[in-house]
Amino acid sequence: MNNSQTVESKTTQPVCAQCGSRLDSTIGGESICTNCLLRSALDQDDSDPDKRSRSDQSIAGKDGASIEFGDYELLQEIGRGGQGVVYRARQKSLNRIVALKVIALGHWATEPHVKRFRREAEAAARLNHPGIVPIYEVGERDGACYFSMGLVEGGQLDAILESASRTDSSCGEREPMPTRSAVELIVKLARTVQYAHEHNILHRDIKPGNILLDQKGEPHLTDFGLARLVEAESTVTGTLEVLGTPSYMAPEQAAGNNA
Amino acid sequence: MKATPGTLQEGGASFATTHWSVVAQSALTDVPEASKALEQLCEMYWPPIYSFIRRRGYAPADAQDLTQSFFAFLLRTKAYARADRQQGRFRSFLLASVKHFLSDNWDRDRAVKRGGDFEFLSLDQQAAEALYDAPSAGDSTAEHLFELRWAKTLTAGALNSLRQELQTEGKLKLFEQLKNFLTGGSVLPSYDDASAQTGLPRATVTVKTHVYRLRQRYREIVRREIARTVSAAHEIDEELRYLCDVLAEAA
Repeated sequence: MNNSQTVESKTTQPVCAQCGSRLDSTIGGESICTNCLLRSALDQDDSDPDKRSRSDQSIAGKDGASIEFGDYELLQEIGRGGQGVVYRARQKSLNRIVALKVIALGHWATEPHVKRFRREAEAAARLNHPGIVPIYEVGERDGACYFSMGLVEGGQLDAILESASRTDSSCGEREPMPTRSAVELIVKLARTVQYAHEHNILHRDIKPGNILLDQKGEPHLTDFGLARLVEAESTVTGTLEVLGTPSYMAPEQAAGNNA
Repeated sequence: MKATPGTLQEGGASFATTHWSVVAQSALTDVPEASKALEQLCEMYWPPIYSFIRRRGYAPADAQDLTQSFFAFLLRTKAYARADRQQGRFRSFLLASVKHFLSDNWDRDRAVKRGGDFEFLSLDQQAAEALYDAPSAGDSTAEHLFELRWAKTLTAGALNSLRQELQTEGKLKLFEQLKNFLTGGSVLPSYDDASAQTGLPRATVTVKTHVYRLRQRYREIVRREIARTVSAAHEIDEELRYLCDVLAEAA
């Protein structure tokens, strides 16, 4: 996504990059989007960003005004990476808050790629385990794949550990997680991964960033295979690409065997 | 939140200075202040009335004259004395009034002449035409165009009020740096860019907080302005949603 790109309509009249409405410059001479502006007065989110949960505070992204995306109303950007953007969203048909991950497919994604993404996603969606973030829906829209999943409010393990080390350590060095807590966490995660393997699903990218802790501190694995799959299939040299995050990669993955 | 006299706080509204009460006061008394307030209202709602009259087929020059005449007619005849705020919104009242004005079988030449005594809004033809919203006019009814311009006038007017308030507080520069988060535009604003521009410490969180406060204040101003045009507090949200829909349809 290129935030600095100027958006114009076919008739060259400038349009709003956020909602696509024609910009208005009839009052005061400035080009404004009256649609976005008045809708901002409808926003019912009264919480001060400085008082929200840490996971929300860590967001560096666009304004939180809601945008429609099919059955979803995008409420807030809660994460952004090379694989796509994660939003806190409201699923309108069921009136529930979910996490929605939208992944740009890239220009070279073909129909077979999209089908494979859907097949794998549907397989991951069949996983039913308290340690796995449930996938609700998978689809494609506006040149992107998306999937909705349960919203875990706590935050990513790496961010939480980093935050804790900042708070606890006066000298600025990172404090390790207490051994007992770390072991308990690993045991739970290992059981979760075992469950997935028993169902022939590989995660492909287990790392602290893909482990979400809920408000009780329970770990939940997210991103089962999906994002990495899309990334692989959207890459011209996909079949030879080494996938995964180097710091957390299995030896066979590093050797180029992507399972 | 500490309530500020004369301002609208969340969930409530001050109806002490509603447009309806200005109308009522002006109808019942001859004090100059009431007429002055009514004149200000006329100036505020000049654009939607002009748009309506233009869409009814009048040429730009005639539409300007008739808009002037309409407001002069309101002031001179006190036709609004019969207006009942319980019957609806100020927007509906003005729309009904201008329809009545245009259909009334009276001497418009004289009306134009009399309207010349008042100068509600001094515009050249090009500026007036910009307010007509020609790109949206093709497939819109006069009523829809009136509502569209009403919504835009309210939206932009509230932004201008916010700018003036912050200028008074010595925060005009901050407003100019962050306003794009409210107003949208052809380039999406970024918190990173904004924090670099403002030089605020703890950039992301602090900038987000300022944007949040800006949005809160804008919301208060919009609600306060809408509260002046409706007859009951519960109608504020309804009117706000309605006007949002009007803008969205025209997008």
